[in-house]
Amino acid sequence: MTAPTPTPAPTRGVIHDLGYARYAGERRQPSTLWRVIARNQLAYTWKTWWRWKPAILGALITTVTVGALLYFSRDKMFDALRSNGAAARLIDGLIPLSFKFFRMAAFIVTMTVASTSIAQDRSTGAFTFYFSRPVRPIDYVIGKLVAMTAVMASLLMAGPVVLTLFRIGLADTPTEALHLLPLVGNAILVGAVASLIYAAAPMAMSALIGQRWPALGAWAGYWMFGIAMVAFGAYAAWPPLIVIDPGVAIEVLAIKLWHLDMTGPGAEAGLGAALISLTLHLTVAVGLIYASVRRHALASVGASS
Amino acid sequence: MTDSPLLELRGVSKRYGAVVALRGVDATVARATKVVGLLGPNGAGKSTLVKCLLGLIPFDGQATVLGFDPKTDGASIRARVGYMPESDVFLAGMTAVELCAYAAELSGLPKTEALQRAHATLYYAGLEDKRYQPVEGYSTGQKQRVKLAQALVHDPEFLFLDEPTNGLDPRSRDEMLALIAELPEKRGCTIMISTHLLTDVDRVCDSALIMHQGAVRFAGTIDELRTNAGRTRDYVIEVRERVSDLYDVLTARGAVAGAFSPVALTATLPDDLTPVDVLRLARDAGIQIRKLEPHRESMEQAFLRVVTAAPSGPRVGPTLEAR
Repeated sequence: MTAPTPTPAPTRGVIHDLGYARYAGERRQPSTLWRVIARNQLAYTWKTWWRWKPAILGALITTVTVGALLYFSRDKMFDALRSNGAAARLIDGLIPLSFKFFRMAAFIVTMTVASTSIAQDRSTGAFTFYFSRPVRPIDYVIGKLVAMTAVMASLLMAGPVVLTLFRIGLADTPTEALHLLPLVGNAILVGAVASLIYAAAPMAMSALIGQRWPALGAWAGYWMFGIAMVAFGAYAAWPPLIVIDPGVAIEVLAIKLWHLDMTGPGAEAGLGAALISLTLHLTVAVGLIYASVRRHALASVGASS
Repeated sequence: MTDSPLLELRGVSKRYGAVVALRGVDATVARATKVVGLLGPNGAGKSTLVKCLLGLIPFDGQATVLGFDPKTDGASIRARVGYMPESDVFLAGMTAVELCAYAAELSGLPKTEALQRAHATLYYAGLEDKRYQPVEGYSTGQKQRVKLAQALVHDPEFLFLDEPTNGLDPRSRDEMLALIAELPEKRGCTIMISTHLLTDVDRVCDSALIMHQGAVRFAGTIDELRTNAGRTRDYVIEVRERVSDLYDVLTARGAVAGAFSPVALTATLPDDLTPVDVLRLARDAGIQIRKLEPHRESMEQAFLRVVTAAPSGPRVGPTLEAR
């Protein structure tokens, strides 16, 4: 019998100097860099307590409150709410009407991130950081837009989709549930369109102005007063033009897709007018973002030497 | 690709409306070159040249950078080139390690590799203790180091540094220059420094590219810049004593001499008088010569001579070869 070989004591205190070796692996294709930018934008937005999280809390409170109303009012009729001329159940009108509250949550994030994002990059020299690398202006714009749309979707799409599923769960019969199933698509569509608008419009302001606080002020003024005043001016001339205000256009879209009869401003506007307004806003906003980013990208590198 | 020169420019021209920014720039930088100084007064065309080289703006003429054509392959060039700008390049709220990892990812490195290299590069740049702090709170010297780190993190083959010692105190400047000087050896990259501080160029550069009014006025080594001024007969002579006797001996043989210290003089030798003849004459006169070397202008003198000379193309053939 032999004595067991003593196990050597683990090496301690050894510094592993791996030295320098040139990177020889595969490099990411420039066409995929927008994903890196989007991931970084999402991480930045999530990082502090005040940028995204209060809005999530607001959307959550809205979802729970509307969910509770759906549950407790499932048998109630609501005279003011009409569908195809007939009185409708409150349960069928709560979700499209709730977009107004989800939009408030989204507006918080336009103020804390979206309206300052590109302006901040322009003013801190981040454009030089980006565009002295393989990043193209289009990669930057897509990355920022995708990230911001995802942030907005967490506020404008997630809640309505959950509520719609809950509404389907409250259906009296399987047939009714099956009949309500397309509403999930509607919630996704309205949420997606609203998310795109709430991402692109403040970012366009941000790209145009290029300084953080002025961009924030200009956005707040534009969204809360400017566009509303223009829309009401147009409404006075011809009521359907109220959908010039994208916020009204989103609500019209929701209400029309839920087949409700609308009252008040926007009642005269049709689904087509709302869609045209939203498409125009989106096109102009994305076009402005791209043009501004492209112009400043070229000027950024070597600008100070 | 690796056989091609690092940089090759043939007739590169760029015009902004009526303003000519680059006028047919010709230059070649060999791969073996270590540190090139890109010099020139404000408005000389340096920034425009950098934009052209990085493929950011269209231009006329032919150019290759690392074997790639900036007109069609700008992204490939920018993935292989590191750029340290003069201005700040910080992203709000980011720590140094986050910034460098992000920089590496944007240059095409995978996420894990990018993070590893970010740590290693910050360690190399002397910021290992500060790497988890937001860059906004850094001192000027630390910010310069972060800028260098973000330019280095993706392993560039060619590094462009724009005023790398700007705003630094003497000690930080010294450290930054030491860091730059060892980069070609340690990282195997060629560096191009754009700066107005000619002492920095003198200290770390082995070659220089001097631009003025959109054209290359000089391309060559620093030694050539300071000695090859068309005055190859100028020498600095240092003696143990009796400098005035040497002055008399040389002027008697037709040299134009001028004493600038009690033990040294400068002399422009006539064509029939070689440095060996000077040594012989001094020995015959009993004067002990301690040093005899070609006269070298200061960097400032050489720079001013080049930029104030009539534009007649590069003074020294436009190839920067390591010598």
